Amino acid sequence: MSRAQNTRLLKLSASAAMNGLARNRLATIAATMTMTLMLLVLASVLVIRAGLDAALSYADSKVEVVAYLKVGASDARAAELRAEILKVDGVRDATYVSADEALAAFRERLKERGEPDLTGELDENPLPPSFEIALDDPGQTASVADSLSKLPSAALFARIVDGRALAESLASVTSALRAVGLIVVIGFSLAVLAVVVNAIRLAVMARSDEIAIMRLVGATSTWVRLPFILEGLVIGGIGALLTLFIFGILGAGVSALMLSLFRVLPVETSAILAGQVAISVLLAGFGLGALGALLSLRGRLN
Amino acid sequence: MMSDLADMTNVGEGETPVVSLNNVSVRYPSGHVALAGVSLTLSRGEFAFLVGPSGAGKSSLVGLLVRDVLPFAGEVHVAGYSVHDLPTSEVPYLRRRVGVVFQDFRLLQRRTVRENTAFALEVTGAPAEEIGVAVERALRIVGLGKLADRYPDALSGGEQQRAAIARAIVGNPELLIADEPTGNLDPLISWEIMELLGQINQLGVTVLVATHDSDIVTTLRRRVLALEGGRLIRDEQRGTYHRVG
Repeated sequence: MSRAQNTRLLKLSASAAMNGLARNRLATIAATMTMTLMLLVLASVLVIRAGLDAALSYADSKVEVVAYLKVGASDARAAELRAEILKVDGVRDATYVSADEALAAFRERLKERGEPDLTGELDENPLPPSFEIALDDPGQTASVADSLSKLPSAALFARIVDGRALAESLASVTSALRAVGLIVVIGFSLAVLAVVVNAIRLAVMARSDEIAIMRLVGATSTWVRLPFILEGLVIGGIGALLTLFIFGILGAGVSALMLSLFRVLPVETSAILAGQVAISVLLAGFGLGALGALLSLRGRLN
Repeated sequence: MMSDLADMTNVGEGETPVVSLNNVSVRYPSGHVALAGVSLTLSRGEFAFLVGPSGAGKSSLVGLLVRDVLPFAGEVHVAGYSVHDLPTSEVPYLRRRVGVVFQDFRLLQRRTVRENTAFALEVTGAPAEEIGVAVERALRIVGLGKLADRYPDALSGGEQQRAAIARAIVGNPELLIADEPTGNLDPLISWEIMELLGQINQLGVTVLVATHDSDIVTTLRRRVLALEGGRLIRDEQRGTYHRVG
């Protein structure tokens, strides 16, 4: 087809699509509203998933073994104990965190969260000193933790925490939530498809005489279908823009909620996340609109 | 008035026929055989009546020519297209070469006569400047120039059929099929429509008229193709509606 033909095709189809949408106003509004609801769910699922992913990767990066010493263990033994720890197979490094440093870090965290710091009221530091032990391979936490418990100075350890177990339990929660999110999105998508199919089918029925004449005089299937596909795209596009508008308004509140849910989230990724959500919402809107139109046209134009 | 369309068509003998059916059978999924072993040709510029009682296979034959119906056996050639094995994507291009008018006119009620006529070209992607010229010419041929801005419901039955004919010829088809074109019209108007179809035929367009109107068929003495029970039982050059003798 020539460029002029393409332009004419688009112009005529667009005007037919607009007429069709206006003629079936109720069905159009219902389809657009359902589309918006679904896209809002999709956007929420994406944001929550990104939060979970960030939490998970943070936990993964922090996979290590922490050996807490008994409260009151003296810093004097630290160097000697560190040398012993470093000899354990699979240990890359071991950092000593004294009781004072632990308390300082705890106070820092309280300050960040804006919570009252009552530690000043304590007579003595209740926190134990510890070793943060980095591993050659994060998968070896269990064997390293086991070896540590068999060291000659193992009696000094109050508790050895296997970081992998924490990361794994977080990972299993995350994958469960991902599955739930996927099911919710698929369920909503099917509902949206049904409503879009219904709206476009009404438009097809309202224009059945026109379609019959188009086929009679030799319009190609592209010319017959395009107005309806455009209707689907308009429903999807308006739904996507409404969603982004609503999300933009709610964005600040949602971010605050996300931050309180996932304290560990690196906040600077939020701009990238917003871009990804916007692209996903637009793609899903246009995709579902067009798919709904194609489904409603199946077998109707022959 | 008629010279415009005549320029676009070539009347001549010995050319490839516009319609050629070779031993064609049509069988519907129900098992009903609508056409059985029908062979016929229509040359360029011919005028023929297709007659027969209800259920004789007239509609199936018309359907075959625009690939609405597929043959179960045999070969169908229309306007240079092998209709029996035509890919679906090619069907629209066949239909641009064949104009069809029906008993019930099938005009779009929300469009004027001019818009109804232009619609046939617009939806095939014709350039705007060509559409304007072709529409005015078609409206002149059918004599609706002055009523071009009226909507179908403001026209008489005969005028509506003229508008439908304008739409059918606006794309310069090689073949014009009229399926019971006078079925909804009173006798006087029917004659006017037949006269118009005759004039279009004189411009070189092959015309096939499926009809029950025995008066018209018998009076005009044109070629008659008679179907009965799905078989072509008569093909007479200057025929009558009923078999003579």
